Amino acid sequence: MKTHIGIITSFLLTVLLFSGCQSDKAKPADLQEDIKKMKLLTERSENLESKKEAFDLMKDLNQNMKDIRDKTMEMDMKYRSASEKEKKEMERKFEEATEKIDKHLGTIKKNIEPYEDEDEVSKMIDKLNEILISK
Amino acid sequence: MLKGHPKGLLVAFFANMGERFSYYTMLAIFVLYLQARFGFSAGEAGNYYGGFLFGIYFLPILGGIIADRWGYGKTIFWGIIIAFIGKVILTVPGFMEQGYFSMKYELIVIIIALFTLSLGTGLFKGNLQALVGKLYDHPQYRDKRDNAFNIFYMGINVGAFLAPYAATGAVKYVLGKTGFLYENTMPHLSSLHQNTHPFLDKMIGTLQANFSGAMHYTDKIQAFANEMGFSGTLSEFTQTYTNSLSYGYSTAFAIAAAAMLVSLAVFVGFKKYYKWADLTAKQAKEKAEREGKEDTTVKMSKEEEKKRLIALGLVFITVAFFWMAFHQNGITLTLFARDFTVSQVSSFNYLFFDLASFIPILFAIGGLVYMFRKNVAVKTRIIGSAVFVAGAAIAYSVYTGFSAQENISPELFQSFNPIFIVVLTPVVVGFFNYLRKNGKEPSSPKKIGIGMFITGLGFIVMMLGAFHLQNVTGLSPYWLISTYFVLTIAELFLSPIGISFVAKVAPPRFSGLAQGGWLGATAIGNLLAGLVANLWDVVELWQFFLLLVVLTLLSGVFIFSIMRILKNATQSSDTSES
Repeated sequence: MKTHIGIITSFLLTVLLFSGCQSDKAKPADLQEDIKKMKLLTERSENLESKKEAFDLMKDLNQNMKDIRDKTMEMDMKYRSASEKEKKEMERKFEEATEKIDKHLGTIKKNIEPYEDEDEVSKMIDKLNEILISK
Repeated sequence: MLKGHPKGLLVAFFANMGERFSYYTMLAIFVLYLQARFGFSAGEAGNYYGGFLFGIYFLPILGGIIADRWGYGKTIFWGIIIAFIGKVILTVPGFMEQGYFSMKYELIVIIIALFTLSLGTGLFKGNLQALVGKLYDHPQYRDKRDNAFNIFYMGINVGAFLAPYAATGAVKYVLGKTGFLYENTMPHLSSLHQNTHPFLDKMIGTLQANFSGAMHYTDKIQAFANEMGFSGTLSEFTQTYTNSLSYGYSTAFAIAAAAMLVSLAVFVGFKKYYKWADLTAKQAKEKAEREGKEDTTVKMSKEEEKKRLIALGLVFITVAFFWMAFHQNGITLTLFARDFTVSQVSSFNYLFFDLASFIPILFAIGGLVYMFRKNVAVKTRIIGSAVFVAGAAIAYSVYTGFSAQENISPELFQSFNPIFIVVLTPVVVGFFNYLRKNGKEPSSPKKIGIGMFITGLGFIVMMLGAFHLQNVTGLSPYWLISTYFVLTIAELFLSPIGISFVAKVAPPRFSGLAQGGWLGATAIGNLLAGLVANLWDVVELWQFFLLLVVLTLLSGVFIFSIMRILKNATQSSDTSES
């Protein structure tokens, strides 16, 4: 019986530890990781050769923007209760982040233009257009 | 399917169906209601939702302890009453104009309602299961216990399946009366509009600077206002719409409360059908003494009780892993539907996503079965043919109204589980009956173990889908539907049978507590589901599903490795009962 209980306990702990590997998700919202991902997307956009590649890129960009939206909303919530000093720091960091995002989005937009009229790509752009205000 | 079962099962079936319909009606709109009424973000609303669910799954342990001393029927009765009161309280804020009471007071009312509701559910849910178990302690019905819980389980799913349609229907009706259309994104948009979002506004501006079609939430709200012919300001529209919406949600909560009354009427009105089984160990002893008869309640030594409680504990731990895997349906499988499954399907495939066509198809299939079934009266065949023709005709008529390509939303996939439960329960019950007649029916613990293996199989389908995804832009919806199908079969092997096992093995003086423990294990499974879901973005898709396959198969192996302990507990219960 003791062996069985031992097996179960280790089994349970393994799963909990597995999931615990994600502990850095609890850190305060930060857009740095998302900007890195967007940079990679920007690089991918330089070498688009087919509508499928354009579609995949836009699909990944949508996911990237979704993550950015979630973190931005989290930052908005924290901002409401932050001190004046913290608010200024948050504003500064966010300003820096949006400058980079702006630059990347501009490049992606330019590179995706030849495929904009493709049905699947166009649908992805429609999704992107509403992504920041959807649930 | 019901032949040879006590009538009390039907009472429990309908009482449970009413309560589950009520519960899921409330649950379907609760987060949306909080967003619409209080301007909560999804995260804030989620905190209330999470706290409520915690109460729903853990209070049955308290409910079980109370019922084991006080009596099952009495505890269930008060559970229904208290849950009804909770739902009535929940309706109150939404029926008032926004601002009539301060938000703080309204939130206090909501918290009181949620606590009352979870307490009521805690007193009701596990104890009704315990009462069904008591019905099948009778030697006449004992061998039908597993089947009984399969049927009982179907009641839960009929209620759960119909609930979202009732909730949405009520909201649409109320909005329609005030000239509005139902837009399920409006609570979120209202929440954005009611609060300041300096960073989100800035980010939207950045997106708009590069993609000119990008929308601000005020654009979207304005578009809805125009569509609904509202001529006032944006704030007036949001305010008026939110008031109507809150009223609509409260109407749905009132329907949920009314369903509790139906449940109460069934439970009280047909008491005579289960009264004979509604006895705690102590009450049975007292009754026997009063009537001068021999107390037939199972007597159990402390050692025997301990053995059984350990067996139950082992099953609870294993079953938590099933729920961990199974409840990926509301998390990662929905994300899979959203991100990796095609968002449009042909009109033919859409037949299975639209309730108006899918239900008639199911009826048509049912009719077909009765047309060609062996040993069936001519009259039944004629009725079967009529149902087949009517079902097929309705489905075809709905089908002709579809466009060549129809959009499917990811949430739609979740409705396949309750539909499959309702459709597959008679099949699984029939299958077990067939095996029993041939002396080959597996024991309850074996069924649980087999269920774990079938769960693994369901995720193998997903793993293959993930491999296939490397060559296509989006998967066919049939991958997910197949997984839901397999997972539902696993659920039918595991969940009702597990409840039946608990009813059979629990020491008589802990029947209610043991059912509460089962629900507690479900809660832990839900918690683990959320923890495992954290790996979704970290590992490759196929690795994620492989992890679930491995965990469920290991759980299956574990169940078989402790089969002797479980069988001993079951056999000793059979011996004690006879």
